[in-house]
Order: sequence, then structure tokens, then C-alpha cells
Amino acid sequence: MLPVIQIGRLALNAPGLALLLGLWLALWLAEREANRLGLRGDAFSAALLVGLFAGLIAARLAFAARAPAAYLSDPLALLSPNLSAFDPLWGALIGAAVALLDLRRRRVALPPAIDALAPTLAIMALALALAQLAGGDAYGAEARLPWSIYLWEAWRHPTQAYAAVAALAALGLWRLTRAAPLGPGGRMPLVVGALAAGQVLVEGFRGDSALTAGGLRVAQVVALLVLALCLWAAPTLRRRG
Amino acid sequence: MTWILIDRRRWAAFSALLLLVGAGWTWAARVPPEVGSLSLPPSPRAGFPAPDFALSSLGGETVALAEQRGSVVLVNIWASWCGPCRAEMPAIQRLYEADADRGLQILAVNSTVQDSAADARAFADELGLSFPILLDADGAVTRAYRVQALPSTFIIGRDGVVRKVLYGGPLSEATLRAELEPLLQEAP
Repeated sequence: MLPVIQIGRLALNAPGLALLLGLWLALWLAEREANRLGLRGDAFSAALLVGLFAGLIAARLAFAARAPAAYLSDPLALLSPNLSAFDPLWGALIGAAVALLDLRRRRVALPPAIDALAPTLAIMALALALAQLAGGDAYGAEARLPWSIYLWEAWRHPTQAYAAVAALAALGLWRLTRAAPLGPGGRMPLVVGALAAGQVLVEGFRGDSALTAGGLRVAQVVALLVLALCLWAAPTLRRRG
Repeated sequence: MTWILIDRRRWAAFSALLLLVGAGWTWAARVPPEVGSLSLPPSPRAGFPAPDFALSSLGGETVALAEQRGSVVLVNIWASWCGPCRAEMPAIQRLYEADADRGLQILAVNSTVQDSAADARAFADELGLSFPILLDADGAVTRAYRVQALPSTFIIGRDGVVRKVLYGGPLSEATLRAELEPLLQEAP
């Protein structure tokens, strides 16, 4: 666990750095994939950047909404470089919606654009797993195994490493099926399904799961439903003939 | 993989098998009701009970974290030579003045192991800090809270559980307020 990399007086937030590098790699790969699929790569990346900025703004505003009076009295605090002052869920939702709208505005065909985005999800899942490893988040249940890591006062499953391997497997699946006879939009359910399958597997080893009735893990149940949806959708998106 | 994808029957069989295994694992990995967060060891991590400590203040009295149970506690670990610590301390003082009567307690732990009590006192006097300034002379709290950068801020709920960890700074009053306000609204 290394939440902060101290270089002299400069303190770098290691999880933030991992996410930033992942984002850069994901955008690069998405543009490359868009060009391969016959889309206008420049328009595609421009729409992603618009979505990214919209997401950042939405995440900060949603965080500020927790204490609106404080931010109204000090509006400059909205520009604070602190990485904790974001609401990631709202940021992701608004960012994705704005990116999709901007893709439409730029007349980029949506199904192949979704295909171009498929590998970026696996890259971002990998970056998230590495960020969680650096920050000690998403930690595993206690276990004494040869590969256990000592974290939060106990030997635990290295669930962040498991999640990274699952993300790499999803990326590998995307690479293997690039030539598969799938119609436009067909690659996304494959990658999302692989990530969901990984989540079902890895969540079972977590030590911090949110629980629902009967002690079931919420993230596992949701991932199982997403997996079922993707397994149903993938063949319907197969190219006819 | 492609050979499974192009044949509907193979795909259906593969899907059914995968879902069956997934459902079985989900069932097998459920958490027994007797295992709850209460069994977590103290650790400087959101969701864990905050590691307890008792330190001498600049005024000479001993202040223990455990005595603050029922209050929302902001533990700020700092040093007088640290620029971001200096920059955020006035905001913390304003929060303390505004919300001490709502159950906000500030424990400003000077990492004296890498500072000095005299410099900590001069710093507190210069900025007019009225909350307890605690001296971590042997670095025990700095180590227990795994401080890797100054300032480091730990927000602890009324139940003694760490709710938020903020590495680095300076933190603005608005950012801290957004984190503290929901906790202050919880019943004591």
C-alpha cells in the first residue's frame, strides 16, 4: 500500500496517478480503435474529452452539493486540487451521458463507437484495481495463504491483485475476439460480461462487501445480473450471415 | 472463443454453465450474519474503528481519543514547517469555532517526532488556535495512523469509526464542511 509517493516536498497521490495513467492509456486505445473501426478518431476523442470534463465538473458540483452554503460562501473552493472532493458516481453518470450526446452531435455512429469504447472499460478496471492496491481500498477477507498480503492489521486475500488479473483477462478476451463475426456494438457486452464475471469471482474474496438479505454480497448479485444480460445480448448482436 | 460465439447452442450451454457457477459461488461466498464490522481491528482506514491514543497537549493535560466518543472528531496530523498544514489550519479553526457546540472536536496532533514542541507552540500562538494541540513526541500516533504525508486528516464519526481519510492539503473549509456536515447531523 502506497497512498502517497513523496518526492522531496512534492506529495503525489498514488491512486490518483494510477487512474490518470489508466485514463490516458484508455483514451489513446479508444482513438486507435475508433480509427480501425472506420470512425473519425479525432471527433471520437474530442467527444470523450468533453465527457471527461463534464464528468469532472459534475463530480465536483455533486460533492459541493453536500454543503452548498460552504461552497457558496467560498466559490473558489470548487477549484481545489484535492482529489477527495469529488462524487465519482455522479461524475461517471453525467460524463457518460454528455459524451454520448456529444458523439451524436458530431454524427459519430453510436454502435461502432461503443465497440471502440469496449477495451477502455477493461483498461480503466485495471487502473482502478491498481489504484485500490495503492490506496488499500477494496481489501480482501482475512486469509493465511502463501500469496496473502498484510493490510489493515491482518493477512488478507490480495483482492486488488485478483481484480487486476480479471481486468487483464477481459482485455485479453477483447483482443482475442477482435476478428469475431460480431455486428456493430457486439464487443461491448463481451467485455462488460467478462468484467462482470470477474467481479462475481473477486467480490467473493472481499472483506468489505456491502451485504443484502441472507448475507449475499450486493456487488456479486448486481454483477451476476449484468453478466446474464451480457450473455443474452452478445449473440443477438452477432453479425447476420 | 470465437467457436463458442458463432454457434447458438454452444453459446447457450456456455452461458447456462457460467451463470450456474456464478450463482453457486455467490451463494457459497455469502457472509454469515454473525460476522459484522464489529470484528474489525482498529486501523486508520475508513470503516474501521480509529486506533486509540492518549497524548499530552501544549497545556499539559492528557487528551485521549476514546474520551471523545459521541463527538465527531477531526484528527489533523501536522508539523510547523509544513506549508499546506499552515495554509489549512485557519479553516480548521473556523470550523471549530462554528461547530464545537454541535459536537465537533478537533485534535491537532503535532508530529513532534519530526518537529519541536517550541515550534508547535509558536505556530499555535501565531494562528490563534483554540482547540487541543497534542504532541506526538515519540511518533507513536504518526506511525499508528501510517502518516506518509503532512498534513493527514482523519474524520471520525460519533461511533469512533473512521469515516474519511484525507491525505495531503491544504484542505479548504468548504471541502471539510462537506465531509463533516453529514456526520454532525447524525444523532449523538
